[in-house]
Amino acid sequence: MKFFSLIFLSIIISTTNSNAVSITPTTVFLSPSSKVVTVSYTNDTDQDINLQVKTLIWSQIEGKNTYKETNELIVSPAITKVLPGKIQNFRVTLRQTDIATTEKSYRLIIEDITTDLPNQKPGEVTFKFNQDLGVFYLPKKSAIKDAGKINLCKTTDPKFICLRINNEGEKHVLLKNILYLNADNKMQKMNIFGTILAKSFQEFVFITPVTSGSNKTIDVETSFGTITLPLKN
Amino acid sequence: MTIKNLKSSLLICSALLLSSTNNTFAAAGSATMLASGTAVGTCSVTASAMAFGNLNYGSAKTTTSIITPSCTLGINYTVTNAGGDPTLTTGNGVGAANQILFPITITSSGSGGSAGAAFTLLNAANGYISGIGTGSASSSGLSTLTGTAVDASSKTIGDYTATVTLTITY
Repeated sequence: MKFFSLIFLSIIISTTNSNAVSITPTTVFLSPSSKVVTVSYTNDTDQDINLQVKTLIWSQIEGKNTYKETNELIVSPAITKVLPGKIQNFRVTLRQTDIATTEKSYRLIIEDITTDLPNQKPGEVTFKFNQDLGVFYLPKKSAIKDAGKINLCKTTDPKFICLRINNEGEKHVLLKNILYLNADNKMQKMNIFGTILAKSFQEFVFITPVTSGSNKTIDVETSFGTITLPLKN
Repeated sequence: MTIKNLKSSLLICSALLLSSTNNTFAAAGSATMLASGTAVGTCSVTASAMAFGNLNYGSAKTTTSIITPSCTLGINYTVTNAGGDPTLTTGNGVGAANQILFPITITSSGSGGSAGAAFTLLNAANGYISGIGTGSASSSGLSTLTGTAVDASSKTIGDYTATVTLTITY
């Protein structure tokens, strides 16, 4: 039985990993005790991939994501070629660290700038992937407890629900999902995700779910835990 | 450490985690958030080539590509089109005669976005694919894109190819 399971597993791995590009980790966390982090990019395709790195400062102003090019974040190498079957490591660090308490946030974009596709056939469309990763630097552990509020906000259309997550803490919060009990009394995931940066807020608008019976609530899953909110119909 | 001890430690850790997360929020409607969590992981993504083969003269031609993200359990991802109208080109690609548009729509999106939505603009309202990693390339993560190449009647004879750049955001 174990033997067959192993064969099955190896078939799945060999099928799913062919022709793939992989990245690890998907989020970079820098700190005074972890000043340099390595991001690994694996090329499991059958051709060379040329990569170029771009770094942006990431902020949220009045609930809107804002990006600005920056040289505060150093990534090496900035441009490289990854051969088939090879792994390219990128070292990520900050040019200068400071003693502020609030987490700093950036986006690291690894762009596939390959132009030469020798294996491409006539009439064929080839897909390339850019990788867009969050980078966070928490200067020091804050004495202030992470705090925030999750509320329903107003919408003009009653068909929609507006959820506001106000992060008053010193580091980012992840909205991992929103769940509700559907008409069949089964827990349904809405697949709504997001990141709320330190000292920022985000609003998420989505179609009002059809919940079961009298249970008019949604569960909001965040990196700080789950909260149940009543749906105001 | 024996397996038994290890199991006991894991149980204690799980119990501590559960008790801390369950007590995080006091009341519904508005809450104070305490404690924290960190998630790092690995994601790989594949996209099968969208093979139109010989393009049609007098009618449009459709074909599909399957996008397969495979992420560590719990990692959220969103796949968007980097922008522009997808276009097959031949020769130097200059001029309408050397270009064949192939609008892309999301045929089925296993985990997010909207089936039938145009997958042509960056961060279009519903024109994206999103999901949560399950630890493997499960069927729930698969998404199908359909490309429709317009009628090639008035186009230059030749080999047409295209490249579409997608952005996977974590």
